[in-house]
Amino acid sequence: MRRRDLLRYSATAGALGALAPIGMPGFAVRDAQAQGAGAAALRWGGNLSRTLDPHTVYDVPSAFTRVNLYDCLYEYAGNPPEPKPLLATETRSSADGKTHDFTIRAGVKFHDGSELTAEDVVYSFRRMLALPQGVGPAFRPFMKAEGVTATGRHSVRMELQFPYAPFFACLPMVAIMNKRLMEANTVNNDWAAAWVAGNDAGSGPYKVVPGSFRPLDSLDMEAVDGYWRGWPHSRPIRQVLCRPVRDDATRLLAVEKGDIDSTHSYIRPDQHERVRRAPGLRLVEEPQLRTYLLRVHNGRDPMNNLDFRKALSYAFPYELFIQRVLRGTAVRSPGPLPVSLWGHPRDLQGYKHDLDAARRHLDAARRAGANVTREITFTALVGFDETEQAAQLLQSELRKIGVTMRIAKAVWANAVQMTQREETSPDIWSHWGSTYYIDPDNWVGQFYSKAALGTQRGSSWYRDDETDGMLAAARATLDRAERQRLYEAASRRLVDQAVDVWIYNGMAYRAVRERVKGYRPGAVGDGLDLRELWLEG
Amino acid sequence: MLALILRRLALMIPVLLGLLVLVFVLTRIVPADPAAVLAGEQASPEQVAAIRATLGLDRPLHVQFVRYLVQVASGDFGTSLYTHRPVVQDLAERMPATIELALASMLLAILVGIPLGAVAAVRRNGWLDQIIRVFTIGGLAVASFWMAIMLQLVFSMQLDILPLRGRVDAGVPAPPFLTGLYVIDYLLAGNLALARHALWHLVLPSVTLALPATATIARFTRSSVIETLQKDFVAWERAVGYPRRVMLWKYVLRNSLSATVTQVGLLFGLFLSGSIVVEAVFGWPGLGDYLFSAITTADYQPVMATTLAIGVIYAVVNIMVDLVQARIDPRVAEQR
Amino acid sequence: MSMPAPAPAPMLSVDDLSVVIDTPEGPARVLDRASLAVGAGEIVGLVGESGCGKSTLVKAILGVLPPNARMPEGRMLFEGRDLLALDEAALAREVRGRRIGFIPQDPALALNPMFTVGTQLLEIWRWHAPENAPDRSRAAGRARLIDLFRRVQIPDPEQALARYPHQFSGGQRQRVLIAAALLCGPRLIVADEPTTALDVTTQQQILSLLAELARDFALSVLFVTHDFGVVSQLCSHVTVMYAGQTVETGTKRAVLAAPRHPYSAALVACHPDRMADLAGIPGSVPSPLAPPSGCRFHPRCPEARPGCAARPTRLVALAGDPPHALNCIMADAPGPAGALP
Ligand SMILES: Nc1ncnc2c1ncn2[C@@H]1O[C@H](COP(=O)(O)OP(=O)(O)OP(=O)(O)O)[C@@H](O)[C@H]1O
Ligand code: SF4
Ligand SMILES: [Mg+2]
Repeated sequence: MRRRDLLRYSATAGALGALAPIGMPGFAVRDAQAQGAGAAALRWGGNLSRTLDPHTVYDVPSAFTRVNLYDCLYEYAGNPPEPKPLLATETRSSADGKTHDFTIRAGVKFHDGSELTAEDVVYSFRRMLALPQGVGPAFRPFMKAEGVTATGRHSVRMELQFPYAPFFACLPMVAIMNKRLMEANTVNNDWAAAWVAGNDAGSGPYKVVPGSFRPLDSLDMEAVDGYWRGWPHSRPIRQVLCRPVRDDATRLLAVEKGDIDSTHSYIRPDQHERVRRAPGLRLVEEPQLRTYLLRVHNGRDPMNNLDFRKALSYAFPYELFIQRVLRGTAVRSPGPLPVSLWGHPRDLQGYKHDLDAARRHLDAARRAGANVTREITFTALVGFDETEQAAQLLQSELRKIGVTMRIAKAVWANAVQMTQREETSPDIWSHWGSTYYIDPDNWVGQFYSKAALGTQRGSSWYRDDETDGMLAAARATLDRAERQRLYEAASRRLVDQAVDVWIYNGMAYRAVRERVKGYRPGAVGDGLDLRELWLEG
Repeated sequence: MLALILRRLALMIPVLLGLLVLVFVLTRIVPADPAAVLAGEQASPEQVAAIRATLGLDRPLHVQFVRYLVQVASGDFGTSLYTHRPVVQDLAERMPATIELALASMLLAILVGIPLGAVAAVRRNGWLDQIIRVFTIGGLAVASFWMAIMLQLVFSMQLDILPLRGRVDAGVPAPPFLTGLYVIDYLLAGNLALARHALWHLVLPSVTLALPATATIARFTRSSVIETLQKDFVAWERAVGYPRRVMLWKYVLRNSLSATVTQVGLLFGLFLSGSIVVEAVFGWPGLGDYLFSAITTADYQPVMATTLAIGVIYAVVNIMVDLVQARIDPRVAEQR
Repeated sequence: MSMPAPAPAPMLSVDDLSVVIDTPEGPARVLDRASLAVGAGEIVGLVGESGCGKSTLVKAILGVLPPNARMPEGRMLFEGRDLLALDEAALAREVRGRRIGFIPQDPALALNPMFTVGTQLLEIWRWHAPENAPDRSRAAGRARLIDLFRRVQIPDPEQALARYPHQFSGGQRQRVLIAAALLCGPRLIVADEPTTALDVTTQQQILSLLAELARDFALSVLFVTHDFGVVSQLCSHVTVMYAGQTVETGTKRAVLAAPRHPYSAALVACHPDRMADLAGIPGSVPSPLAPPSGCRFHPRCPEARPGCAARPTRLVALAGDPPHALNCIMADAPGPAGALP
């Protein structure tokens, strides 16, 4: 078998012989490997952010370092995940929902041995609020730096500008940093951004091996002895070597070969079988709250016509897309919220692929004077094939009902630019609704409030006072049942108005080697808790 | 010779300045707003505008350019919006990787391409020439990424004699920084085993990168050897009884190299641009990878600095090519 | 077909040699049964219009014909050895450079521009230093070369070795090439129009130098030229070629004073150089791809007669002294020379 493969390869590889006349002895690469880290290290192949600063980036890879290098006041726990206290031992909120007092756990040590106190919490929140990118923008609408104060060595008060219910769901975004260390490394009022981009100032279960971080390329971490939450397994992983693999094909080869123990979580559906079959590998399915939707410009003719938008909603072939393009690796999400999240109406039907219905609504739109003969444009994202495939499917369905649609392409940064102004914003484009904080507000509130206009989140150019009112009310009350009612009502209203075309809730897939045990996906992004893992054999 | 070097270095300045203007304009006219991308999805329009103002992106273009010039003139290539590190520091880490790969590929392309081309010329239209022709056409036609994957499958997965990716295996410590070229630095550090280890990691990426260049060099050498063979002095050398072997490999080849060497200088640009694909496939932490991620996030300072760095490398290599050419051809040396 | 058998065997004799070059347009019979002899101590002038095959004959002697050339017939003897029986490597090893020295036409192009003169000339010494030389080392070669440079009047001989070809004037380069030809003590020098590319004064200097060297070193010389003036100044014998055929050969005195072949006669009459027409004879040298049959001169010959187009080419010795041979129907006549005008 092996021999036959070899022949096949050498036939196809053709010219190789001419190029590689170097008689290579069976050089023991492993000898050299043995000089480095032993097999006891976890070789993590998930992506790495370009910075280790937990405040200035908030994306899928950054969750990995945020969760494992740092602790936060709250963490997500349970299934479905809910915000639960972590460094906070007690939380008291005022009746108006504006003032929150936290008691901070005593005895928690930073990696340099100093104790984590209220001062560090205050410093971290103020820093987060001061920096223009990353986590800050999510807090700044309702919180000012002066609103965060230490009321004791282990107690902190946070005063919000107005009651903001998603506040607790946002707390796991904010890593608590070692104030003393940070201030020692601050240059030119940079909040130590340059230093902490390649180092850690945390109290988490792992710490950075100094000098090991190379943006996007490599990072070594080692376990912290006596971590306050303890180590659930008797032989936890002492050393973690992060070695992301950029190239799709190479990534699979690397995990098959055992060069890395896990991939990132975007293993493509067409590669699933291969991973399942490969010896020593398993395919881990990670449920995602992430949604995928087509954004429709509600402010522009003909999309400003409800019937036209309904025609779009009926024209999209949801099942075909999920089965054919995603090979069944997603569930249909009929409304603006992830289906597993509270606030999503369980009985919501949404739209089905139905060209007859689409034609009826198109006729109605035409009768109402909508310019249905105008060629509309779908702006697909370069490098995200799915967006292009969605565009193509929609295009061919629309053609059947007599609507012409052109497909344009833009890189992400360009698309973001376009959505900042109503005139330049695309007729239709598509993106994912990623999880920043686990609260319905993260999706429905962020996308359909009037405050979102002028950002890519508000690129539906949807202006509806009633919906806006419901979303604002849901933010303002801490009453969970009331909030749920409001989100369900808002969801139904948005679906009735066919504001966007909501398509699916995704699954993430990661190839993990069998020797990695105890693997449990994180609640947000790559934020798994490495403490739970151990290596076998 | 020194005067020649200085003159060429001086000539580099306007070229690089031109490059600077070009890159600056390009990074500013692309319709991607660094501020919006940086601010992230949660940011409000006001927050984006604030970032834009902090970065000075709200100023008129010429003001921005003058600022950038002043900044560059003082040796500051800015800070990456994402790594938060001085771009120079990022480049210092990544540039040697790219240079090591490009040099290894160039060496390989020269050492294989020139003899191949010469043999093809001498055995013109013979079977060896035909085989070499197939190889050169193939070498140019085969896509790098396909080649890379084939090499990985054969030599790393099937035969398991060469590493799949990276400059070293995970956990192998980098050598103390001297030249930045791992193979050399390990050698200088006296660690033979790791030097070999690094060299083995270099094989597949440099073969991939070298393949099209080898083909080009072979083709150029072939036609230039054929041209040289028509020269009067070859007839003279034959007539006065030079042994054929000596005549071909010493006298004819040296004459043919002049054209090839110029080509090598141009090809170096190919190595640098080709390295984007090759670095991605082989996880080679060089400039290509860095530039790619900077471009996709509109991180304009690294984009400008990296392009400039690549321009400098290219210019320096071409100066070196000129020097080599002056060594090969005494007439060139005198003209300059 | 046959030379009048001279008493001593000549140093070099070429008999009935044909060279066919396979071109994309078809085979070109560039030499058609050409013959030539160079005796010891003779200086033989080889003349003919451009394109007659003079250089081809020289290349055949040196064994450096292009790869697409064949020699379907003929014999070549040099110092009693059959040159056609030696392969390329043996020729390079034993004949060229060593026994036969070569002086090329254009000194500007004949040397490799990328190597010093010393390197290039000593390369010849390295492979062809005479067996009987007392010292065959590189140093000895250098010493001999410096002597020769002095002999051919190159200023600063020692420094000259370290210079590149383009650093010499045309005349000096030709002197360098002459020194190269003489370096390993050859018996025969073959010079293919060695002065054509030079200006008139330099030509004269080179010619007298060659004459002097030939005398002093007791060399035989085969000297290719267009110019009968040069022949009369330098040569002892002349061979005239037309369209790949030898048309007349003999001592200088015999041929110049009384050319018997209509072509030679015209040539002598007008002292043609490259550009000029043959006096009174229209037309030009035919292409070797489609040469006229029989005597290749017949389409242009004022004396042509019915048998000419079918006459097989052969040299006929004329009676008398000095030796003189002719390739013409007129020499075939049973009567002696009287038949000619
Ligand atoms: N390599 C070749 N391929 C084809 N034809 C050739 C080749 N070499 C010579 N010939 C032809 O052979 C004939 C004789 O050429 P040759 O160079 O021997 O003439 P020549 O007498 O030396 O002329 P010149 O006085 O111009 O040097 C010419 O017609 C020429 O075109
Ligand atoms: S053979 Fe005839 S054609 Fe030829 S030269 Fe003699 S007379 Fe003229
Ligand atoms: Mg000639």
